[in-house]
Amino acid sequence: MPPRRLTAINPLLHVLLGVCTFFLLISSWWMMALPLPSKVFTYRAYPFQLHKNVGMTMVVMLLVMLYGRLVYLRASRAAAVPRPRMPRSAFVQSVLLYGLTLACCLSGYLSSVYSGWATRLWWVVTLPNWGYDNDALNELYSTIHIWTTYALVGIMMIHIGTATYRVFRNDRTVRWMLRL
Amino acid sequence: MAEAVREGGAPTWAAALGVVAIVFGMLMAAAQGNELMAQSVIGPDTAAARNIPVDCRADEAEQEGVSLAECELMVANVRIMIASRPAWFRRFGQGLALLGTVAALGSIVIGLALTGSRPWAGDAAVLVFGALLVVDVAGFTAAFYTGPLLRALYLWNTLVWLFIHMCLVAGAVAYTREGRPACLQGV
Repeated sequence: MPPRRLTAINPLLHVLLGVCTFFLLISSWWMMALPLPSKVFTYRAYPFQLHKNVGMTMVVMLLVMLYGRLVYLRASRAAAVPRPRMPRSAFVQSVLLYGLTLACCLSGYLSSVYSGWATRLWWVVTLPNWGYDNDALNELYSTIHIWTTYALVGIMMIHIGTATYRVFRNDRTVRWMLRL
Repeated sequence: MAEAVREGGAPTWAAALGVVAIVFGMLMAAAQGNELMAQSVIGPDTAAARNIPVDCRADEAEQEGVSLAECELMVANVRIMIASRPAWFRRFGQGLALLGTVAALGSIVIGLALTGSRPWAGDAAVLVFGALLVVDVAGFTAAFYTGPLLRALYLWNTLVWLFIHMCLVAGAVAYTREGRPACLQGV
């Protein structure tokens, strides 16, 4: 059997991604109702920076999960050990869920790059500002960001609904996926 | 066919309780995290409190997809918070939101433990869900002692959370009384 440690952290990362996604949703609705930025009205500065930082951290978490999963799959193939098979619907949901999360984060970052505002990663490292102030590109990526977000909300509803249904039916899929 | 009792003596519904705790734990952590940020960002001496005139430019408002009236109301929205909260409310709200975030993250871990039929999950669930209930009651009481504008903003939300956490506590108590794994029965 491939070592469990390869994917041991994935259930925690999975729920952390959920927390981050809900936080970004709730906080973005709240911060978009804050006064438009000016020299004196700076209410949006901190929430926007935090929004970008959490989004970029989510990408790192996604990559860690993906890496663990790929190494685990390769190890299980090499050992020729049968592993629990993920239902097809769960596989499609996972691809959509993680694909949309990635699309959401990347489009948000690209929108920021073309907004002319610099990004300081967790207020420590200033990322190289390779973009420039371009309203058209900012608008384009912003629109993609919004629509991928709402698509993600839809997929999350299906994902959570399916998981709850399965656990009420007492099949072992959810237990296997969320094992600590 | 679903079994009533899983291996280890834990009832099957405990896993369902676990998943429900994870979902609401994620939402609560996000909501409380946002509240913590909101109370931190909206300071008592910031621009909105000093009645600085709003500078709403038509082109900027259009770019943001808001009307000029909405642009002005965005500042009024912040003023509502600053003008309506008593002096103690901000610090209290920050502390409570921090506690709520930590307890909500704890309830996610408890949810994972319930799903995995960990023997310690029941007692820990009563403790953590109970802590969330205490946070709700404290938040409800604090909002009750503010003015009508903040009551309208907070009371209904807090009431919903209060009932959700009460249901989770009831489930956790039932689990500790009936669903204790066989190896721990009578302990």
